[in-house]
Amino acid sequence: MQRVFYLFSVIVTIIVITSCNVNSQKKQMDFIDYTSMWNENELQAQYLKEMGLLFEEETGINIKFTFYGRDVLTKIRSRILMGDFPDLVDQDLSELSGSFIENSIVSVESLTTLFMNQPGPEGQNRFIDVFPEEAMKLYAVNSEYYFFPYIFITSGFFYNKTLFSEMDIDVPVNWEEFRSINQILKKADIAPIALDGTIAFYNAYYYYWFLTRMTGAGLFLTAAEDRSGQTWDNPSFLTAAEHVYSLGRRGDNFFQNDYSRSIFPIAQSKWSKQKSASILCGSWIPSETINDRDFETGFFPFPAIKNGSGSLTDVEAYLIGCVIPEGASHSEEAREFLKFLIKKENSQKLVDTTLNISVRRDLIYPESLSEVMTHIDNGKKFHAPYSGVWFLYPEWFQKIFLPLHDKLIFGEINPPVFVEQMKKKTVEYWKKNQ
Amino acid sequence: MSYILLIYLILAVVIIGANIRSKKTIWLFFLFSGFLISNVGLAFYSEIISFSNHTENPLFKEISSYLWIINYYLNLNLASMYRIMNIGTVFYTVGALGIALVLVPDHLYKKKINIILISSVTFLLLYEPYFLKLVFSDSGTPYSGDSTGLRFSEFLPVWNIIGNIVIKISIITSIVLMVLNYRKSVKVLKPKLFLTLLGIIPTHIFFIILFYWFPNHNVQYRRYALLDSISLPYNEYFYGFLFILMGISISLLTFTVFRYNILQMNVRRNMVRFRERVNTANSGLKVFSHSIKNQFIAIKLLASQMEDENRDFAGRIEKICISSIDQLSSLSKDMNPEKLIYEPVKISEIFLLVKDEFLGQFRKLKIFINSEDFFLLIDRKHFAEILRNIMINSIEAFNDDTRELEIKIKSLIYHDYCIIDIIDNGPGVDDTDLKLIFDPFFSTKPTVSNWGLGLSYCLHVVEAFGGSIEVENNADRGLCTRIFIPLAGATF
Repeated sequence: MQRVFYLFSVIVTIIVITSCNVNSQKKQMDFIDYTSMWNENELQAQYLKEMGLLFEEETGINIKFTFYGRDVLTKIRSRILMGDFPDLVDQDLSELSGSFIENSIVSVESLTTLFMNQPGPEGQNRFIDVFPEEAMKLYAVNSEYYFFPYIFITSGFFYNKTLFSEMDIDVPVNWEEFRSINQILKKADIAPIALDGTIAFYNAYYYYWFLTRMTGAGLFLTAAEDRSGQTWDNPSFLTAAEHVYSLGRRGDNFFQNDYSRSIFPIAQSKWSKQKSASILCGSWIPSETINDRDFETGFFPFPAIKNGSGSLTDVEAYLIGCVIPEGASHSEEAREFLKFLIKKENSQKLVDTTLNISVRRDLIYPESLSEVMTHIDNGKKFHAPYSGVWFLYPEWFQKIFLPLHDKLIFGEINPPVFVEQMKKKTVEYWKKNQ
Repeated sequence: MSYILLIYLILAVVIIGANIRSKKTIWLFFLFSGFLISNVGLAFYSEIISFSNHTENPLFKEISSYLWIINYYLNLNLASMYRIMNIGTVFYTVGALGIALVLVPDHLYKKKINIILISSVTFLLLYEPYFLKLVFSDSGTPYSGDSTGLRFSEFLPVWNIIGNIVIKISIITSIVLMVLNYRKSVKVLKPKLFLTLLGIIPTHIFFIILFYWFPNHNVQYRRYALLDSISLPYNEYFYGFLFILMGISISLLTFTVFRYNILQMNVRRNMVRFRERVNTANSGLKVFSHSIKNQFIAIKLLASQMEDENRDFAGRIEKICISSIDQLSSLSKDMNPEKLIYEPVKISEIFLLVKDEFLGQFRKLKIFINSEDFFLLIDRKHFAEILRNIMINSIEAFNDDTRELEIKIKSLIYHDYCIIDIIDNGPGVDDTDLKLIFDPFFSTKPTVSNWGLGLSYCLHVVEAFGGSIEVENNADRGLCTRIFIPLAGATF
């Protein structure tokens, strides 16, 4: 028994030691420390590395990239608390805002001077003229700019264009047409819509888009911050809930089987293998499935709702970009790199290599993104994802809204109960969080 | 919760220190270290998830920033945190099962412990995050429809459920074993066993509830795994319930530690009392024996003055008087407590020694010894005297010429006691006399040389060793005298 015990102890000791990856104290670095949301093997990571090399050739400044993945902000938190600031951090601007701006306390460097007082990379009057102004204003804080975007993402339905063509299905514009084509697909034994039900914020796309089409962007934010809960009395919330409910198993049942238990990215995978016809997703999906699908993708925006005051020209602007944390030791060099990155030829490379949409409008886009670009170019009003609720009121969004919405879309509660519960829990939430 | 864990740590040190020479020590170590390690993992895990979800850490908010600072140096990722919880949970489960088994007198104990340890190492490896990543992560891109990794990853939740059930069943089995053992246990051990149950079972329940969800690795092996898609598996009502449970568990554990120590102190108090009682009895005995001795001396003197024709008769009277005077003198000497010398004694040697003595003296006597080989920390001479007293009682009570007297001596280790049974096939003792049998000067067969002090002496010496003695009639025939002596022996 003693031998077994010693063996046990040795195995455990080895396992514990390998758990830790002990950090040494911050060393003096002579390079830009760039911490990124991309994973090492993603196209965007390869793009950034290439840009880093080109920048180094041009300026002699070295960049060290650390690709932490989507949880980059969590992974650098320890560093920030210990004063070991990276020079650049990228993520979607909502997350960056949520992490670095709290109660009007900003812990990143302002880029307002760069944007307003310096010319653009191709001689534009102001640097900010490179970006879509309406989208930029969404992320300004008290008229100050802190975020440097380089990717523009919007959401809508990405569909199997090849299949639609074979079945002679037209792209729907309004909700009735959308239901009609889905019924055709269902009869042909094709799951009309793919959904990974275990990812709550993917599910939440449906509600927030319904509401946006019905009332325009902004009402969802109003409902989140209304401590009295009375905004939920607006009948649009109930109508939106009814539409969401009708998609699930208690209504038309347009999602694939077992959608409530589908673990990401199984549903997206099945879509890429033509097991589902369409998916409501961000515009990253053509890029991510480029090697796995053998059909042409198309895009149509979330359909219009009859009598809704929202419009097809309401465009979601989900921007991915960088911040320079306060305390970064190479902030000037970091700015230079950002200016280099956003140059036209470099932004074009982003589009060509990653199939992502650049934040610049003056680029050439491939055919597979043409419909998305048309939608963005036609956009008159831009709004942040979920009307900004996720980064302004993250706890309410995640603890109150998402769980109840999941129950709605899975058919576990009906629309009136959903609205009633949302109102009640919003009031309770704000009572506890005065 | 971090303050409560500190209290657990202090209690763990106290409990393990108090049981350092016991068989339980290693299992207590596994239990408490497992509890603390798993909670360390949970502290980091809950902090990272809470931060990702933009909420306050509900369990460890008071040490929230310290966790990040520590993690700056340790650089733990989610897999590491799971690994730490995995190790802690396995340690805890091993400790729980080990303690339950050590309390059960079982000749298959070693084999069962080996099985537990091997199973635990296997579980540790099968739920090691690195291994799970190899088996269950999506290979290539996440959209490869024919990816084996994707198919296996659908099986991961089932794998987790299996692990979850194994942990729960193990801890519940430990509880059931301990309760069953308590119910079947002998009276002298019940107080300590009860305290053990009272201290450990609430901790088990708290652990099962705190980690009811573990293991749950569903998200982390995805290429695009997001921490904010994981929620802490507790809701606000659950936190309240957890804190109440924690309070109950820590209160009971603290209580049992104090009560257990009081029980241990009582053992030492018995020793001190023994010395005092013996001193008092000794003083009384000296006075008593002195006055009786004087009477015998007077009779001897008178006998020596008897006339020559009665010389023979006088000689016999003198002999009786001398023998009684000697007996009286040796009695008070033998009761001197300063003469208790504690040393490690191999008890089977004492059994054989006494056996040889008696077989030499009594032909119609059979003695059977069935003893495990182990040491007790006792006074060798007085322990042998205890055995002699008991065996003499059996011999003196036996008056059946049609058969032989058989005395069986058995010993075994039970919990942290040695139990010695001395069983005869004599007439036994009336039930009414059983209650008085340890009283001084009580005897069912009073003779000139039998003053009814033997069993009283045995009781006091055994209590000085920290143990106890009881008698009961056998079901068929005869008497069983059962001695309990702590394995650690008398402490001083």
